[in-house]
Amino acid sequence: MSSSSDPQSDNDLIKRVASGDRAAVRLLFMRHHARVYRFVVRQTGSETMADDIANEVFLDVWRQAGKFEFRSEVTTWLLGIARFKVLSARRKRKEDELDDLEAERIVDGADTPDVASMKSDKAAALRTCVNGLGEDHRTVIDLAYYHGRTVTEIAEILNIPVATVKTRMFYARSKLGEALKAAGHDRGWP
Amino acid sequence: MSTEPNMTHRDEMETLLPFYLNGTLSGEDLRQVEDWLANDPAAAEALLATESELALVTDVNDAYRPRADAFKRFSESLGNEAAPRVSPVSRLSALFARTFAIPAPLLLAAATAALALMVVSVNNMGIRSSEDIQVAGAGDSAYAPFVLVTFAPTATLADIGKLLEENGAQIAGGPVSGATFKVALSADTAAQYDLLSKQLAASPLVEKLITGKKPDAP
Repeated sequence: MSSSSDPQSDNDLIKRVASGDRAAVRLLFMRHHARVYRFVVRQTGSETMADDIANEVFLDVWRQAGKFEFRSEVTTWLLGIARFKVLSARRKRKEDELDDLEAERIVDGADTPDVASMKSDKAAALRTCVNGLGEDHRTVIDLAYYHGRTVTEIAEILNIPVATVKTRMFYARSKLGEALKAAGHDRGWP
Repeated sequence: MSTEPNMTHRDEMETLLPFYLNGTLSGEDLRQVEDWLANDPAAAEALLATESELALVTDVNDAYRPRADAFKRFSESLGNEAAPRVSPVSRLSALFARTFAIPAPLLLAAATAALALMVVSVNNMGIRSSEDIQVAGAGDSAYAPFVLVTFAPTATLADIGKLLEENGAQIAGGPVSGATFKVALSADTAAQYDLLSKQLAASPLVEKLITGKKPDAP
């Protein structure tokens, strides 16, 4: 994360984008696209969908930078836009398409030949446990562990109360512990 | 902290551990977690488990790779986007932020002070076309008709922004040679250019205005 006194900080880049600087939004894309992409793919389970949505997030930055009020970190704003787009994309889909998407995600976490052959591999089994969490829990875990967000920032991104973030974190970790135990791994692994 | 009424103290501390590890915990929550880690033998095991989760979740996320042509495709999409509607004030703010790298809270005052120091030097003006003095994203106005303007030392950033907006003008470059600005005009004909130039020059906010590139049409 760049500091606000850095002329190339995220905040300064947003100011430049707001004034119509295409180079600045390209720089923001290079900086943050991979994380936004991963945030979306972890929620949707679809790399194609994540590809489109992550692209749209940065086009929205181009269109909306002038409205950013610098009350949160730029990265929190980006993840918030991504979250909104994921929910919007789901709403637009017909129910049967949504079912297909869910099926695709479930298949991703199931015992494909590759995964089955790696079951003896502890790390692979652990990954399966993480991927097996429900979306609400997985998203909170990802935002804290991978995206380094605070409780308040997660609440902002997901548009839920702070207490709910903590509750979801508690249950997410409990379920993860149970899944790991069921897979034969006690806490304190590896 | 309060999450679930039936949660034990240990449950609450374990809920906070991911935030302790990602370095975002502060205040009373941080104090409680550190106190627990220092005094409860079970805490060390919980911390180890949390560290393992962090490594695992990082590993799982890093496994997803965006397509190699993601940036190329974004650039193409961006090229099809119209320039955002920009108010002269935000354009000026961005210009000063970029030129002087002033912290945001001081931006307005610094911009006003910089404007007060403007000096017109016609012979040395030589507007540079390099990226460092162009207002970001001024591509649309780079070839537009323009005038060179020195604003009055007493003019505020907000006043200047309002003046430019009222006259359909925008900062297209600068500051150069002692902070003189290139101001693009929305004029299709020379007559419109003359009218807008006259209106700007008549403003008490403008100390000096020099004619620049005029439209080809009369």
